[in-house]
Amino acid sequence: MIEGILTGLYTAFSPINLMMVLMGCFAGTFIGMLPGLGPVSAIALMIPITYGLDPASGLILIAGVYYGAIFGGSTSAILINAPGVSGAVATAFDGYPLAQSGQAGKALAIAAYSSFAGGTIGAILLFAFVPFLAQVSLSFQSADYFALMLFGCTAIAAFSGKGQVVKAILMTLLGLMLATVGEDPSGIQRFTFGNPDLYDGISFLLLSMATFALAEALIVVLKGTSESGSASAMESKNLGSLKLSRQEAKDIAPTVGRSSILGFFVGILPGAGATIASFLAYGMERNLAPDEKKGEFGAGSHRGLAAPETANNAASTGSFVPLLTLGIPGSATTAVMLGALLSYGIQPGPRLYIDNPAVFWSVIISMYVGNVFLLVLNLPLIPYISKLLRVSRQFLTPIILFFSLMGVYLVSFNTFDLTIMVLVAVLAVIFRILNYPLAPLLLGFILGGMLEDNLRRALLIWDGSFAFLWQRPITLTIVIVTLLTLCVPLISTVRDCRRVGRTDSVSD
Amino acid sequence: MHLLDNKDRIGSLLLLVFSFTYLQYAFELPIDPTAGDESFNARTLPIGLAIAAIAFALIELFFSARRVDENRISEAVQGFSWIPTLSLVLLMVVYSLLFSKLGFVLSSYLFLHASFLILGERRIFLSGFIAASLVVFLWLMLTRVFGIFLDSGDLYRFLFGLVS
Repeated sequence: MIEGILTGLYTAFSPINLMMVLMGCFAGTFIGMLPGLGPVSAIALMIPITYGLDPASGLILIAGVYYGAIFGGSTSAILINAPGVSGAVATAFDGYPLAQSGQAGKALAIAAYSSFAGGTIGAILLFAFVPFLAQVSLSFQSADYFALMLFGCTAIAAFSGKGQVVKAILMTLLGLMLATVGEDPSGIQRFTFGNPDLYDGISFLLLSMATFALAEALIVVLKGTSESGSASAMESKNLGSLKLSRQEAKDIAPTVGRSSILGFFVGILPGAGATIASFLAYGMERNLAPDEKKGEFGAGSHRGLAAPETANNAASTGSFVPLLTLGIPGSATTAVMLGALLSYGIQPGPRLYIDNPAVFWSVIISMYVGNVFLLVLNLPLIPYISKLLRVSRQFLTPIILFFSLMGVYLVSFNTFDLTIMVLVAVLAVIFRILNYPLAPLLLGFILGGMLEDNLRRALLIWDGSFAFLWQRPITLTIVIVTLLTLCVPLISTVRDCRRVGRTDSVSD
Repeated sequence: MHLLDNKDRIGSLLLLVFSFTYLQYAFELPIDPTAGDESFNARTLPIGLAIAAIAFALIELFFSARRVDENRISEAVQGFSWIPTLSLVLLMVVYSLLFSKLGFVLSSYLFLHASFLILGERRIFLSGFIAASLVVFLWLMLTRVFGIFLDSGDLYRFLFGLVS
């Protein structure tokens, strides 16, 4: 392990990789600040660039973009009350009122310090947990992996919003169905309709770019969001001092500690992610606050800002645990990262820790380096970076569309992919309008291939019998957890529906 | 008409139709003749997925039938800017079709300039300058710095009889 950490340190601190972290943080901050574009879009836009790099550098760049985008999302939440990412919604509750009262600089500083602390504590916990979990999961067999893939697919659905569970399951199934397009392991063409362009299946990059970057840019045009308002709001805003007093730092310290631990463990749960962590931390702090401080929540409370910011960063770090140890993504962002890893020919999971220690440890170390860069470099640069947001939407949106299309073309050099990409983007926009979540679609698509491979292998080993689902204790445990994760929200949906039905009949 | 003015209902109907079509094609998938009576073949997962999707689409359809007045599509799409969005979609399709004919530089320039205009930019020279600068910069970077081949297009080859 020590040897692995040293290799990781050597890789992470090489000049090229430090530059990657820096570039990633900077690009991520800028993209994350644009309302509508979150970390998934930012990473999707960066993936074509990483194909020319070695896997460690590519992943380090992606990790930098991830953190940068989260930081950028919080910045736009504080300055213009437009969270760039859903994990920053709770940040706006107290961040924006602080900015309104002329303390934008202080709010940004609290967000940056809290994010740094959350990321640091998260990275320490990651260091402690990942090797342990990786050791445990080394004993897993195909049957357990199949059960784990099922759990990954259902968990993201189960943690969707109220009334969204069935929709999320449907989108996961759609993603799994799309993953079956192309040649199967026995050499049979499935759903290609004789088109050679589909023999290799739908590219993961195409799907992620179309459903996130392209679709989100189209949604912005469709909604006619005027950026001029936000730009002028940004222009007129006086940031004020970026410094925190000793008393203020002392006041938020316990909040940061509690929210880091809560955020990290919520982040580990597949599908829970930064958004739930930030809301839970906000709620916890409001409940724990003394009565005289409770009233400040929602009106510019320092604790109210520090809690979600710490938790969403710690959760982002925590979401790497299932990805790096089990090979199942915990969020849409880590799903995109899983796709990137697979396209490098790297199989995430317990073997990653043994087979590719340089990639494994350098990514973990780079996350911490990314946090340091964000604090030391991005915070003082925020007033300047925010000026970039004044670029007119009339120029920015077409450039995002162009880079998305080019990103896919430069990997496949096939114009057919561009046509498919536009079609997928249009369908993604329709599903967005219909309130169907797209993250489960991507998750299903990425897990589809692995799920089928493991099921095939398990059935081969068990002589075509599904008995492995209940005869292996590990598999059975995962299956029970999967069923519980799926059934609990489904039952609550049925109950809600019944209640609505009863209310309707009473009012009739 | 009112029955279909519901996000959940339309979404689940779309997915139900898709799943049935997928299931029909899944049953038509060939099976490896050398596989014998193996329990897992190319059809197994697709058929399972289609059946699960049909079941969940029907559940969603059933739930949405009990939520009559919620999630109206007509309310959700109110005030949407359809013309610029559809124009951009059409432009992207045209761009993908013309790419190999006009080549990277010309097709990308036309795509960017036209999309700036679609989104309401009225300074034609400025938008033309930005589009041209971006495309030329990217072309120089990709071809001269990174050594990536970019299609010069049928038109270029027809006019100059060259392959870049």
